[in-house]
Amino acid sequence: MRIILIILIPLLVLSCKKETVHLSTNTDEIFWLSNDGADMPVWVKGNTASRVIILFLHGGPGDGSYRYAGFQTDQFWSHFAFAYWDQRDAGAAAGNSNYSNLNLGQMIEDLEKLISVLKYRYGSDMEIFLMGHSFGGLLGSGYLVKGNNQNNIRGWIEVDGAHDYPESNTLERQMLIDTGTSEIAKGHYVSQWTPIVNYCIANPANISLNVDLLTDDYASQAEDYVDINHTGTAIDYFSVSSPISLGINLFYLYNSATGRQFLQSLEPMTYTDQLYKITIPSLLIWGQYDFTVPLGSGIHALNNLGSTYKHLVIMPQSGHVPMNGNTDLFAQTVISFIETVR
Amino acid sequence: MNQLLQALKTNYAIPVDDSVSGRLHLLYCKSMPYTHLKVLFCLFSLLLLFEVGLQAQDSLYKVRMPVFVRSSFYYDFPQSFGASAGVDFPVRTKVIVTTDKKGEPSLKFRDLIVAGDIGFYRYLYNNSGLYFFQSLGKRYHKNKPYYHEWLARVGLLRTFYDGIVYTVDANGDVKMLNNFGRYYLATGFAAVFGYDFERSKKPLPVAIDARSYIWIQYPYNSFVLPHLSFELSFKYHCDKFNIAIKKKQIEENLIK
Repeated sequence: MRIILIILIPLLVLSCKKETVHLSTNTDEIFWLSNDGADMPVWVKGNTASRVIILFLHGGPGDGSYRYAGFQTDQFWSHFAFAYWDQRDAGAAAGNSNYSNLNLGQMIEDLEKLISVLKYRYGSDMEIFLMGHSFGGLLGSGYLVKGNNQNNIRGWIEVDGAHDYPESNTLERQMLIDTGTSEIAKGHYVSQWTPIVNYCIANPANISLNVDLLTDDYASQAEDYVDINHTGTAIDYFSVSSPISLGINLFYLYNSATGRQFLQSLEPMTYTDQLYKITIPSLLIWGQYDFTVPLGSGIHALNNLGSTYKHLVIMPQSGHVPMNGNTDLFAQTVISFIETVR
Repeated sequence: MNQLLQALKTNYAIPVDDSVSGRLHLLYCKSMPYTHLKVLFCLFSLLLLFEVGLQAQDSLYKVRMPVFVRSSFYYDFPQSFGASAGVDFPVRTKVIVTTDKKGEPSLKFRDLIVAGDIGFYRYLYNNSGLYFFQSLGKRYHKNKPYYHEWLARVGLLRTFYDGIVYTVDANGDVKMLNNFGRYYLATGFAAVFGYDFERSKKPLPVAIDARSYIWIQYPYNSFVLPHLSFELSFKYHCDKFNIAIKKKQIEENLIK
């Protein structure tokens, strides 16, 4: 028994070593935010010595953030630091019985607290840029229009963001019908496009969660039928995130009554009429062939944002994930924006 | 027969002849559309044709059995590594002595065992887990050194997150939580395949085995988190750890 203890105790001590925070050109560390029953990991990777952190708000909801590491965002690491945050009940986030707290208001509060922690951990002079993708666009917009929150943020980068669910659903359905009809007329992927077009014609947008979720599936498939460029498959699930926790969180979100209740609550959400409140520098990046949150939504946001400095950049070979379709152009656009406004 | 087949094609209740032959007839008719069921039915019928005479004689007495002390390397899919230590107690053993048609006896052992494990794993960038499991199961072996076990396990898991854990109070003050993690209930099953050198040609008081576990931790985000784990164990016993347990011996004579 003594031998076992001699082996176990040093291992336990080593595994619980205290972490010291240093700014570095090659930061690679993780910390957690525990809030209202949820424990959410934040993986910080890249150049914290630059004093710029891009806080990534993943989509889904439930997608997890770590999948956007690797080739999709690694070009930023030498310039700035990237903070990959897994929202509550997503990715590697853990906790006990915390599903009763799964709602957009709570997630905005999580984000507020996370910003406080980032400032506490890395210094109040750290410049934080929010990058919201898809559902992260809704979450980021909700955060920025609330109170004085935007004072904590140096710039807003919305990537195919769903800041207006009803509008996105309507545009999505119309784009699928228009593009599908055009492609069928050209004889492209006729057997694939036909059921999509028929379904969208038969089912108006915003009538039910099930219809909108299935239309989202069709929107994702449609990218393959217009030959969107999906660069490689270097999604590094195994680096820090377990595919098991990611899969379980996604499964429960989309198949449990409470999970679907949350998804249902998002259906009417829109911040379009409050975008004028956002006055910080803003960059909108949209995939030209994004069927899920079509380009029209980005144009509408550009017109409504209150920012003096605001730009919309279209990624020509991209669908809903432009960091995948136009990886280099995406990185250059974001780096240029940050260097300009910081 | 025709009436039954006709009934199977309709939504009406199937007329049942309540006798044994009637029920077998019905089972056969229900199996008709499925080839694999038909084959199983025929094999089962063939088994019934064999005539087996069984004479059994039971006896109960006490024997001394080894308590194994175990240490293991632990791997939890996909990227956690750790170690564990445990003890396997035999609680009761049953020996089945079977004499075949030629009069040759063979032995089969069924040991009821209780096991306790304590261990940890490290999941880099995620969490470290400290766990305790109590298991109950059976060990199966013959005269040869090979053995296998099936175990049901329940336990407690305590996680410690990798990295500093922060919380922010209502006033906006950030606080660090030391050694923060969660308690979870854990339960699952284990399959063990091993080699006991005690029963080899050159007996040694050691055994090695490979263990695979399927288990869940609960509650994980109001649901469960499944685990798939593997262990490579080294087991040792010495005489002073031997304990007296009840041994039941059953003798069977197979007579054709």
